Amino acid sequence: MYSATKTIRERVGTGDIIELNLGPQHPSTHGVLRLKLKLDGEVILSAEPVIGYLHTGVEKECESRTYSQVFTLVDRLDYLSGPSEEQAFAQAVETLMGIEVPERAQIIRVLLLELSRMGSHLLWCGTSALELNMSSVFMYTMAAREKILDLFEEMSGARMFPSCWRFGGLAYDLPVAFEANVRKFLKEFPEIWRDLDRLMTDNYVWCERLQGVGIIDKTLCQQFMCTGPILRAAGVPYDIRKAYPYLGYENYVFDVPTHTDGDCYARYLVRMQEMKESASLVEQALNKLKPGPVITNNRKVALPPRHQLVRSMEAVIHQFKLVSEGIHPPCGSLYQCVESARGELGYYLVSDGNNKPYRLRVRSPSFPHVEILQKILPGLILSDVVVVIASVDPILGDVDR
Amino acid sequence: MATEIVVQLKSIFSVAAETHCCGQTTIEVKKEELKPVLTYLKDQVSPGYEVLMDLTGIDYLYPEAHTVISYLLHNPTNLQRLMIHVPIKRDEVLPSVTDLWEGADWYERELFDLFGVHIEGHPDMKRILMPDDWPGHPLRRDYALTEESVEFKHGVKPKIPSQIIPYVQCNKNNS
Repeated sequence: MYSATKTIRERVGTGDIIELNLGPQHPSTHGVLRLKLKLDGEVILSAEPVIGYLHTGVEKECESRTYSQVFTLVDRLDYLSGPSEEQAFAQAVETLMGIEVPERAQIIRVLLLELSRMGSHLLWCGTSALELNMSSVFMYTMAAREKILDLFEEMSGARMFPSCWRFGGLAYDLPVAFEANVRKFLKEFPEIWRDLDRLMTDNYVWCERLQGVGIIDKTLCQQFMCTGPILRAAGVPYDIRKAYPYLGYENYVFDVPTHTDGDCYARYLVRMQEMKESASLVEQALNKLKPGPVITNNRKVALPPRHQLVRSMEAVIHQFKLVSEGIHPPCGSLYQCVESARGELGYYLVSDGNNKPYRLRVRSPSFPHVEILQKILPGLILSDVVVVIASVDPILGDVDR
Repeated sequence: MATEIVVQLKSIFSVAAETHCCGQTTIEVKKEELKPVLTYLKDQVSPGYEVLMDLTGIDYLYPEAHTVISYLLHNPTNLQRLMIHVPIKRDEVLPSVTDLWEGADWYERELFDLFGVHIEGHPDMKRILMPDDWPGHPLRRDYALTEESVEFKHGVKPKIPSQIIPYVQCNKNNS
C-alpha cells in the first residue's frame, strides 16, 4: 500500500516498508560491503552503505614501519591492482628524495601497471556479468586473467602482488622468456576482447539491465570526488596518466576513452576500451625495452649488488645501514597520485626526517565511489542494486584500509 | 604552479604560512577563515577549484597536542592543485564542508573516527571505519599500537601490554 503523503520515517514499522540488510556476506557485494536498504515493494527508498568490515589500520601500522617495509602493507589494500599502490608510494618517496629511476625500470613498471589494469578490468567484467547470471563470461575473463597472473608469477614468483618495486627502480630484472610470453599474450588478447565484446555489448539482457541505470553525471562526480572510469563515463576526459604524467607516460600514445551517458552501460564501455588501450600501452612498452640497469646506483637508497659484498667494505656498510636502518627522506610533505584501475589513487606522505613515515595517507579511489551509492540507489529497484554496485567497481580492502 | 592564487588569497585573507615542497603549494589558514577561503576558491575564483580531492588529518604531539586538517583542492579546468592546512587544538570544533561538497560527508566521519575531530554542522556524525563502541581514536599519535598474541598449539604467549610507542625527534641533518 503506497501512501505518498507520509514521510519514510513515519512509514517505517507500519508494515509497508521493508528494511533489508544486504551483506556484509553477500556474493554480489564485491567483498564485505553492507547496505541497509529501505524498500517499498521492490523500490528502494533509501540506502545506507556500511563499511569498515575490512579495516586493517594500515595507515597506523605504516607509522611504525620503515619505508621499505611499507610496500608489503600497501600492496594488499587494493588487492586487484597492487602495482598501482606500490607505484604511488614509491613515487611519493622518490619525488621527495629526488631519486632518478632508470629508464628500463620505468618501462617495466609501466608494463606491469598496465597488465594489472587489464587483469583488474577483466575480473570486474567477469564478476559483474556473473551477477547477472552470465556465468560463461566469467569463465572467459577468468581464463584470460589467469594468463596475466601467470606472467606475474613468472616475473616475481607471486601471482597477485609482484611486490618488486624498490625505491629507485625494481628488485630484479625481467626473466629471459618474459618478453616473448607477453607478446604471446598480446597476440591472443584481441581475440579474447572480441569474444567478450560479442558476448556482452549487443546482448539484449546486458543492455536492458545496464542502460539508463545508476546515472552519475558530471556535477555529481564533482560533488562526490569520483574519478577514473566513472568520471570518464560522465564525459570528462580526466586521466592522471595524461594530466600529471608519471613514469614517462607522456611518451606513449594512447586515448582516454569517454562516454557521455554516465550510466552503468557507459562505464562498461569505458572499461572495455581501457583494456584495449592498456594492451596497446603494453606493446609500446615492450618495443621501448632496452638493456640497462633496473635500479638506481645511488647507494643511499638501493642495496648494492650481491657480488660486491665480498669485495668491498663500503658495500657491506651500505647494505648494513639500509637493511638495519632504512632510508631517511628529507622533511616535507607531498601528495602523489597515479591512475589505478579504479581512479585517482593518491598517497599523502608526511616525513619528519626519520626512517619511518610520520603520516601516510591513502586517498583510495573506491571510498567516494561507495559513498555515492547512497545518492544514486534511491528510486531504483532491488535488482538494480547489484548492477550499480558492480558498475562502480569498489574494492573493499581499499575502501576500509 | 599555483602562485597567482596564493597572492590573491594573501590579499584578501590572512594566510598564516605558505610552504612549497617538490612543486606543491600548501597554505595554512586559521580555523575561522577556513570556510570563507574554501568558498572563495570554489565559487569566486575563475576557473574555480571545484573538486575537493582529499580531506585528511595529521596529528602532532609537539609542541602541544594538535591536529592539522588538510584539504586538497583540485581545479578541473587548469589542473592546478592547492593544499590547505588548518591546525586545530584537541577540544576545538571544525566547521563542516558538506554544504560545499556533499561527498565530504564520509571524509569528515573518518576524521572524527580516526582523529577525534569534532565537526559542526555535519548531517550524520558517527564512526565509519571502527566499530561504534570503540574507545579512542586510532590515528592520534598518543594512541597505543598494541599487539595481541596469536593462539598456537604449543600455548599462548602473554599479551604485550598497551604502550605508546615513544616518538623520537629526528636530529639527522639532511637537506
